[in-house]
Amino acid sequence: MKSDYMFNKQRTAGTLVLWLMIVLAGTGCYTKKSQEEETAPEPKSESAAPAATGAEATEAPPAATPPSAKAKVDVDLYLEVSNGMKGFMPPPAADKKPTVFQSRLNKLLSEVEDGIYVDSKRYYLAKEDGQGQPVLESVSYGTLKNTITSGIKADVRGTPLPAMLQAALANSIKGGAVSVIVSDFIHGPDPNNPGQFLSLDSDIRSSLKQAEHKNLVVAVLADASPFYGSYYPAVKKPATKQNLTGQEVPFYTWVIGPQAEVQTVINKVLRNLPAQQAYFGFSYGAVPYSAILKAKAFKPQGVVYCTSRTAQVCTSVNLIPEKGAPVAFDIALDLSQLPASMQEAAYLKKHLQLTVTGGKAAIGTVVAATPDTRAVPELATYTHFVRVTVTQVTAATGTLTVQLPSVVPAWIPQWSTQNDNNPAAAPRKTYQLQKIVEGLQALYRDKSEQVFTATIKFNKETN
Amino acid sequence: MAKLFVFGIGGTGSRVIRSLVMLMAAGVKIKNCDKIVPIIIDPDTQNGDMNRTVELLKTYKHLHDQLGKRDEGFFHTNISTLSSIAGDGSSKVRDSFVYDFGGINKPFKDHVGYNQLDIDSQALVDLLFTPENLNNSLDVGFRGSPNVGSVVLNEIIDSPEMRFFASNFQAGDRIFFVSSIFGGTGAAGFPLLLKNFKDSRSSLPNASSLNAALTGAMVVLPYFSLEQPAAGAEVDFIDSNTFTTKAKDALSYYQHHLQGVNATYYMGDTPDKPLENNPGRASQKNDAHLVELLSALSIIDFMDYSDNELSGSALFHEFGLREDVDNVQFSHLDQETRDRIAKQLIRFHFFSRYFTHHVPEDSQAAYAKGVDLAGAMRNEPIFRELTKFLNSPDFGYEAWLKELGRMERTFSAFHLNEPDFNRMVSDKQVETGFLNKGISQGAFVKELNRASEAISDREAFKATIKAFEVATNNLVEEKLKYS
Amino acid sequence: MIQNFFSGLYELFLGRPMPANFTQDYREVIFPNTGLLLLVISLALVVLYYYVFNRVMSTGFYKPKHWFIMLILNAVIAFAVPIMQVNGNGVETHSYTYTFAFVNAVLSLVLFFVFSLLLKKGSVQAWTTPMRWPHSR
Repeated sequence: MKSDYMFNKQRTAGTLVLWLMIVLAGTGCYTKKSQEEETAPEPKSESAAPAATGAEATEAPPAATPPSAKAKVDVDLYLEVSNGMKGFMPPPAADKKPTVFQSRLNKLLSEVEDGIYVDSKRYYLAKEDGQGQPVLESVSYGTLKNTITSGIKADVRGTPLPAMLQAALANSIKGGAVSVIVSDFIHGPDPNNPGQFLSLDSDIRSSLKQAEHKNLVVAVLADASPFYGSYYPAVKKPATKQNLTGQEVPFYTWVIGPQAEVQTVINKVLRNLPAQQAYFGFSYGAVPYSAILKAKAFKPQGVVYCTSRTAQVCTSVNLIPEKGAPVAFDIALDLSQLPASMQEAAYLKKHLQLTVTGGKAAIGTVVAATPDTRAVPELATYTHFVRVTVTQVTAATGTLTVQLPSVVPAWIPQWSTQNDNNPAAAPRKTYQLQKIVEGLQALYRDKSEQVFTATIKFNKETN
Repeated sequence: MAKLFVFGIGGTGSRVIRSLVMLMAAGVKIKNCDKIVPIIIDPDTQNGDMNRTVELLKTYKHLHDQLGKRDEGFFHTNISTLSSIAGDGSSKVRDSFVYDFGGINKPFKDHVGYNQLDIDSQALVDLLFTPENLNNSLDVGFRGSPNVGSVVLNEIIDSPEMRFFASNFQAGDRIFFVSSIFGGTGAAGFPLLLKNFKDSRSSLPNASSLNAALTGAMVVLPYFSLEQPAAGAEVDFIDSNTFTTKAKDALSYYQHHLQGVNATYYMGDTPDKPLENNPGRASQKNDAHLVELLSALSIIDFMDYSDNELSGSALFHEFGLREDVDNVQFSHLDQETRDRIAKQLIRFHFFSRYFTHHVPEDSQAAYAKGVDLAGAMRNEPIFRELTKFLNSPDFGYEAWLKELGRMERTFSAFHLNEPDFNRMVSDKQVETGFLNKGISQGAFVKELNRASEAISDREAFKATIKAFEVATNNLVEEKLKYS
Repeated sequence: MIQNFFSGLYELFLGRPMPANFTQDYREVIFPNTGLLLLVISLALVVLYYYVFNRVMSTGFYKPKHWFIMLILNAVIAFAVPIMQVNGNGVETHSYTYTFAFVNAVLSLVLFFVFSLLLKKGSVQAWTTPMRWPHSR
C-alpha cells in the first residue's frame, strides 16, 4: 500500500518529466501523442487491469458466514433401553471395569448435566410399549445415571429403529433441543414383516424427514464397547441370541439438530470423539483460501505470480509452465470450521480432488499449519496448504479447483454387515449399517456433493 | 573619411610610433579619422628602433585586417602603409612603413661631391661640417648632426615616395610629425618637411591641400643621455652633451621659422642614467621610455580636436605629471589622460596575460571549444601573429612594458611579476575573500564563456578577441571597479 | 501506460522478472518507479550540471571530467535506485535485482548523454561539454 502511494505520487512527477521531454523534443509526433494523453488522461490499458483484479480480491473473502457453533444449547438425551442394550451396561462388580459404553456415557451425561455448554436438558429412556409403539420415558438425571451404571433391570423389547428416531426427533423439535440418541442401532424388523429388511433405507429416511424439513443435520458417531450377556442379532439365524462375554459390539450416538447446535454438542459436549464419524446435511460456508506466492515457507516454482499485486487474498494467478520448469505453488485453506476428521492432512491428502480447466495439474503435498506458519501474518489464518503442480497450460485462461467431496466415510462399509449373527467372529459390525446411512444420505441428496471448493483462476502468462 | 599621416622622423619617431601602436592595440580611440598612415623617415635602414617598430606595425596590420573594420575594441584602429592607401594597386612605391629614400650609402663627402667642388666651396663645406661629418657613411643616419641631415633630407622631397604621398593626400587629411629636437634626422627632417609641405610654391601634387592641411607636431626634448665612449675608442659616436645645446638652437629656430603648425606638443625629462652609446645601425635599439608613451598621447590629443578648434590660432601643449614620481602609475596621470588610456590598457594587459598564460589550459572551456580555439591556435597563422605582438622578446607588448619599467622614471601601472589578476594593477586592487575570489581564472573563464555566448562569429580569432574585449571590460567594470 | 512502457523497456533487456512470483511488484511498482526516478534524476543532474553549476553559479565545473563525474554519479544513483526499490517493496533480492540495477545504470548513461545533448545549448559555461557537437555557435 505504501509503495502504491509512492507510485501515484511519482506518476504525477513522471508526467511532468514527460511533458518536459515532449516540450524539449518539440517534434510533431510527440505533441500529437501528448494531445491524446490530454483527452484520455487515464488510458484504459493501465487502469483496467488492476481494477479488475481488485474487484476479484474483494470478492474473495468468504461470503456466507458459516453457521458458527452456538454458545449454549438445549439437549435431549435419549438412551435406548431395550434388552439388546443390557450387555453394554453390565451390573457393576468389584472385579469388573466399566465398559467403554458406560464410561463414555457417563462422561457424556455428566457433561450434559453439569457442563457450561448445555442450557436446559432432558433425559429419556427409549423403549416400546405393549403395542409396539415407541415410548420415550422422561427420567431424571439420577435415574439415567443409575441405569447406565447399574444396568437395565426391566425386560424391555427393542424398538424398531425408524419409529424410535421419529419419536425422539418429534419430541426434540417440539422442545427446540438437540437430540442425542444413543443406541446399538440393531434394527430388528418385525419378523412378521420381512419387507422391512428391504426398505430399511427408505424407512430411515421417512422417519427423519422432519429433520430435512426443519433443516437439521445429523452427526453419527460410532464406537464399540465390550458386551456382556445376551446379544440379539438382527439376523435371527442360526441363533436368535448369542451370549457374549466382552466381545466388542458397536454402539452409536446420533446427534440431530440445527448445524450450529450439533457442532456445539459434538465439539464441546461430547469431546473426545471416536474415530468413526459421519456427518449428514452439514454445509460449511465458503472456505477461505488463497494462492500463496510470496511466503518464504511456501516458495513457488516456475513462472507464477498473483494477477493482482495488492490483493490480500489471491484467487487469480498468472502462470506459464516452461520446459523442465513446471509451475508449483501452494493454495492455503482455512478448514478450521470443518469437522476434525476432515482436517487431518492424511484425510485431505486422500480425498482432496483437483479439477482443472485449460491445463494439466496435480495435487502435491498437503500440510497442516505449524506454529511457524501461524507466526507469519499472511499465513496465520490458514490451516492447510495444498501444493499444486501445473505441468501444462492449454488455454489462455483456466481454473484450478481444489475440492473435498463429501464421501461416505470408509468405516461405514467396514462396520456394516449382512449378517450380524455371530459378533464374536465378526466384531464391530452392525447389520445393514450401510443401508441406514444410505437412508440418511437420501435425506440430504440435494446438498452439495462438495464439502468445500476452492477455485483459483489462472491466466496464461504471455509476455 | 579622413586619414592621419604620422611622420615618425628618426629613432625617436620610431619609438613614439611603437608606443602609439601599443595604445591602438589596447583599443584607445583616435577620433576624427578612420585610418592612420605611419611614415617612418630614417635613412638609417639598419636602425634597431625603426626595425622593430616596423615589425610591430606589420603584425598590428595583420591582426587588424583579420578582425576587420570595427568602431572599438582591441586593434580596431586601421593602420595602413602608404602604398596601400591608393587602394587601386597602382602604387609604384614599396609597400612598407619605412622609406630610406634612395640608397644613400656613400660618405657625405661623396654625396655633396666635395672632391668636385672648387677650393672656395670646399672651404665653406669645411667650415660647416667637421671632417667626421664628411667622412661618415650616410646609411647610419646623421648621428645627431642636423647640419648633415638638413642637406641630405632636402632631396627626399623629390623622391617618388614623397610624390606618391602628396598625390594621395586629400583635403581633410591631417599630418602629424614626431621628431626629437636633439637628434640628427629628426631635428633636421621635421622643419624641412614642414617647410616643403607648407610652401605655396611647392612642386608637389595637391600642394594646396597640403598647404591647408591641419598639422600637429610632437617635439621631443632631450630625455636621455648617452654614455661617453671610453677614451681611445672609435670616434664613431653621438655626443649627448650637445643635446641641450642643439635643442636650444632648434627651439630658437622654430620660434622664428616654424610656420603652419596648428598644434605643437613639447615633452621632455631630465636625463637619467646614460644609455649605451650606439650611434646607429641595428645596435641603436633603445629601451622604450615613458616619455615616448606620453608623447604618443599627443597624437590622440591632437585628433581629439575638431577641425574648427584647430583652425584658429596655433596651440601649444606641454605635458606634466600630477606629481614628480619615479614610478608613474595611472593615478599620477591627469584625469583626462587617465580616462583615455587606463581602462583600455588594463583590459589589454589582462587579455595579454590571460591569453598567454591561461588560454592554453582552457581548451575545454566553452568559449574556446566552441570555436576550436586550441586547434586554431595551432594551425592559424593569425594566432602566431597575435603571440608575436604580445610576446615577441624584440617588439612585443610584454617586452615593451618591461622596458618601460627599466628606466629611472618608470611606467609602473602594472605589477609585471604578479601572476594574480587581482593585484596586477598598481593603483587598484581587487578585494578578495573566502567566497569572492575576485578575478580568478574561473571568473575569467566564466566571463569569456558568457561573452562568447553573444558572439556570432565562427572564426576563432575574431570570436576570441571579441570575447576578451567583453570579458575584460566586465572584469574591469564589475570586479576591479576601476574608475 | 507508463507502467507498460517501463515494464516493456526493462523486460526487453532483463527478461521476465525473477523470482517470478514478484512479477507484479516489478511491473506495477518497481519498474515504473525506477524508470521515472531514472528520468527525473538524470534530468535533474543534467539540469544541475548545465543550468545550476554552469549557468547560474558558474562554478568552473565545465570540463569534460566534471561532466564525466556527474555521469558516473548518475550511474551510481541509477544502480542504487533499483536495489532500494526492490528492498523497499519487500521483494526478494535475486541476481535479477543486480542485473536490473546494472541495466538501469547503463540506461542512465544513455539518458544522461541524451539529456546533455538536448539541454547543453542552454548552458553558458558548458555548452561545449562534453563536446561541441551538434551545436556550432
